[in-house]
Amino acid sequence: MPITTAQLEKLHPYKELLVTSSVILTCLILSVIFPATNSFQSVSRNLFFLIVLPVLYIKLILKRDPTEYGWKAGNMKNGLFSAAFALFLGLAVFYLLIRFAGFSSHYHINSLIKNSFGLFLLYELVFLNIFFFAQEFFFKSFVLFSYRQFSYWAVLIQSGIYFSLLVLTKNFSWQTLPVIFVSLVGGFITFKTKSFLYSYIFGLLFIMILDAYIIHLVR
Amino acid sequence: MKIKSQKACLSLVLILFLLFSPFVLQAQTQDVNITNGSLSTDTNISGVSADLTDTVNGLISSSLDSLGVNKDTLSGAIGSFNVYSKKETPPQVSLIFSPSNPETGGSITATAIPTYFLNDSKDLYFTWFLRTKNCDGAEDSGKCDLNDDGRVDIEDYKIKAMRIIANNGFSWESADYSASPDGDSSFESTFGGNNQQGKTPYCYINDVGSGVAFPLECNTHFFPDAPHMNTGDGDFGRDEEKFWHTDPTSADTAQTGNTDEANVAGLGINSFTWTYSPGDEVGVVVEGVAVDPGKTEDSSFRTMWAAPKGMCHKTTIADGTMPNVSALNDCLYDNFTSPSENSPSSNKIEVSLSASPTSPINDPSSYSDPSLSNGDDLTVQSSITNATDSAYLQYSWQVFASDEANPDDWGSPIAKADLPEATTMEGLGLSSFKFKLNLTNPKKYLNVRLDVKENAEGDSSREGHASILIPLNSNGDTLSAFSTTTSGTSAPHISMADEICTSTLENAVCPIAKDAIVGVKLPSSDMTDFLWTIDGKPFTYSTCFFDGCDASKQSNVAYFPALKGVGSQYVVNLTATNKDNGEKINLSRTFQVVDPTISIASADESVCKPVQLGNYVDLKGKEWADYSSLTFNGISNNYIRLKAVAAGFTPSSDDLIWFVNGTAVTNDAGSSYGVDSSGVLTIPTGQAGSSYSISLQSTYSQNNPTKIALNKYWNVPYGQFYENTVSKSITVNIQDGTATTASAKSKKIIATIYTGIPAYLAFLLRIVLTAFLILFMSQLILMFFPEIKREN
Repeated sequence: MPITTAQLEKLHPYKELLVTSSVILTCLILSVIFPATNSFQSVSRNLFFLIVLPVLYIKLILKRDPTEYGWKAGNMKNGLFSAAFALFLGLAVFYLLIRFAGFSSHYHINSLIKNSFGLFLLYELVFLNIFFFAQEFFFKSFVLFSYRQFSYWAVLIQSGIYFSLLVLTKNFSWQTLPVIFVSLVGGFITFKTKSFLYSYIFGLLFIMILDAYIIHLVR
Repeated sequence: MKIKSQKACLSLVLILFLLFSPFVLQAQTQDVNITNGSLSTDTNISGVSADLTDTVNGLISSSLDSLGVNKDTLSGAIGSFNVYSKKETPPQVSLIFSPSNPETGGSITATAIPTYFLNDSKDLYFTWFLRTKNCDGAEDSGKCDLNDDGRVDIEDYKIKAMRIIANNGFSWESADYSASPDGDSSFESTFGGNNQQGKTPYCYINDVGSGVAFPLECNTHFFPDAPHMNTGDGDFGRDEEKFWHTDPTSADTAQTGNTDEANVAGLGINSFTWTYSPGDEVGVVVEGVAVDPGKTEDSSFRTMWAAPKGMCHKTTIADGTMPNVSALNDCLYDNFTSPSENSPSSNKIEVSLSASPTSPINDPSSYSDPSLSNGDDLTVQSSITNATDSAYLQYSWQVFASDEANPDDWGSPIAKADLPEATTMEGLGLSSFKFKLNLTNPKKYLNVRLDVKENAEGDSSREGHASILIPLNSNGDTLSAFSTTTSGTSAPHISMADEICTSTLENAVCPIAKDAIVGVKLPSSDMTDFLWTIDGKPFTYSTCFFDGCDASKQSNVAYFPALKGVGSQYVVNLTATNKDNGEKINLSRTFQVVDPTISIASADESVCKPVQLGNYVDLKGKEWADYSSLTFNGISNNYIRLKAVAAGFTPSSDDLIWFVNGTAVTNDAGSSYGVDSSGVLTIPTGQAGSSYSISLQSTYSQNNPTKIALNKYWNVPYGQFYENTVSKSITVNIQDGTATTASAKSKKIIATIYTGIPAYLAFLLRIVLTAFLILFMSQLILMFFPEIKREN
């Protein structure tokens, strides 16, 4: 049945939200299923669909200022304090998980980075960082601020989308528990500071420290 | 005295009266029943006055008391005697089918087993009736109304069955029925069976409820008749031959030894074979004489009938009149039986399971690749005997675990993902199920359950279930194998040296050289009651020759020599009991006799390593490097170190002779090469481009104490010991390692980039086009809304 003019009129206030949601969904799906034959192409695919395409969409289609999507320093004092608090909280939670739930036995760390500090830094600051930044930008900047009209619910929406993606791609496990934590806590930091920078800093530091601690435990 | 004697006589008369009066009364009652069909209990003593009755009763009572007779017991015995005639079992018949689960179009035989008939089976009349699905209450008179009387009834079902019996596959369509038949196919039946000629027929029907046999008017048999003719009347003309599809030129078409008419009458036909189709129901009624002879004052017996589900109850017979036999024809509708109904087990698939090994070992260690685990491969094999087509059986396997052998509830089955290397668990034709016992949290018992389902024809389906309990040994113990050293010559003492076969591959089948004495040991000290066997036979030692040996019982160590030919295997098995919990374990280890071999390996791969020839991919798709065993590369101006790797034996460093460029290596002063105490050869390398030819030689033979031990303990004759010289040669090419490696690496990277560029450009093009399409579509949709708004 064709959509009537009246129905379109009713949808009009949500047009941007609907189209943006479609773009988010498309980007996510393509970042997973777009055929890539090697790791180099996989990196390119992630960067393209999680960063380049959302940026182009914001700039060319929505014609919005990137600062509306958290591309700014925001309240630095507030941001750094929140990031530090979240880091402390996260490390405390995961210390308890390691101590009482055997988290370290479920959390796999590549044997190469276990034995070489140089490789560890390379992995954490380059490889992990590329993917983490792409992910942070997409969810904390593009997704979260696209739904900012829903106030704090936007944090849960972006976390929910991320969580669903993990479940659908069968990646939901102990291994992804830290990034789920970062997704949720980082979302609140981003929303509060209106900048995804602090969430990104918090997340990267948190994962690096956690990896380093677990390497220390298992070596 | 005289009065006393008279009193005793009177008492005796009264006792006799008391004893026999019930039978008299019973006989009177039965007579009444026979004549008027009622169960009146009127007697002739109603006229006796009450006073006289009291007097007589008193006399009887006192007489019984004086004779010591218990009146209650006597009364009970007489009561039982009174109803004895009602407890007799009437003639019966039961049906069995073969096969019990017939296939459509297949042959099926129903066999009647008559009991409580006085006649032999060959003298009984078996009237069979067959109702097919399409004739079940059909109005169609064309196919089912065989006697053409306008209705499809029990007579048509009888005709269908008895025609099959009498016809016996004869091609009646081409037979000539116009002439009078050859031979006498007739048969004159008598009531009660073929051996009852000349006797007066008395027909009875037994009422199951009351146990009373009621008389019937003997007017007819249950035989099916051709239209306007009677079966068993001694006349079987061409019309009857044609109707029954019998051979007019043969008096016994069915070749039963009886005439065609006798066959139609079912004389001695205790089995019936027909071509089965789903929905077929069959029945039989058997006529003969009952074991109970009845009370007639002549030589006749009671003619009775039996059907598988019993003949009609009394209530179906019109009260007040003597029913005739033909009135019981309707009873036969209740006597149809289908093969599946009569053989409940035919609806069940008979499944049995067997597991191999029966006491498997689980390796609870965690491995990234379960195939590396030392746990057994558990195979459960199903066996199904009564499947119609085993290829179309639907199998569903489930595995449960519990610490109890017989728990109330086995709980949820273990998921397939938690069963390492499990084969498919659900589907067609999965007659066996296999998985690796690498369960990290094992229980003491596994219960493997199989549900089998077969979709039979029509709507019905057959199912079968079986489960097998498998005790699991998960203590992680394994048998360790050791090389041995022997010392002493008069009474050689054998002791364990180095552990052998510790690699994953050798753990499965441990190679041992011929004549080697191998030690096997259970490291755990928690065990007792050891039973070692080799190839199923227990280890026995004539004398003790090793530490821990106990002449009276086995211990946790055992020794055996490899005396079989090269390629043969030994299976060593150990059964032991845990001291603490009594749990039994069963461990085994397989050894294979091999020719001893020796090879050369690098002791320092950072300086020297074998040349990589390429890669090979195993069956699981995993890539493995393929290294040369003959050519090595070494780095210039360095020290390469080479070691011997022996298979099947463990040579000492003294047994190893190294050659470099044809010259034996000695540790003499001035030699640039050296062999250390562990047998490792060290060579200083020269400039790039040079090469070394290195050989290694060793002699495999047993030392004298071992030979004496083999002779003394295992009766190996002197002069039959195995000896062999083993050697290996390699070439080490010296290269400028750093330059070569760097150059090769940079070339590799450039080559990878060069070959990868076109594919990457194509990838980028695809991704850019996709992004452009998404942006274009989103712009298009966003533009769509304002237009609508403008129209408004």
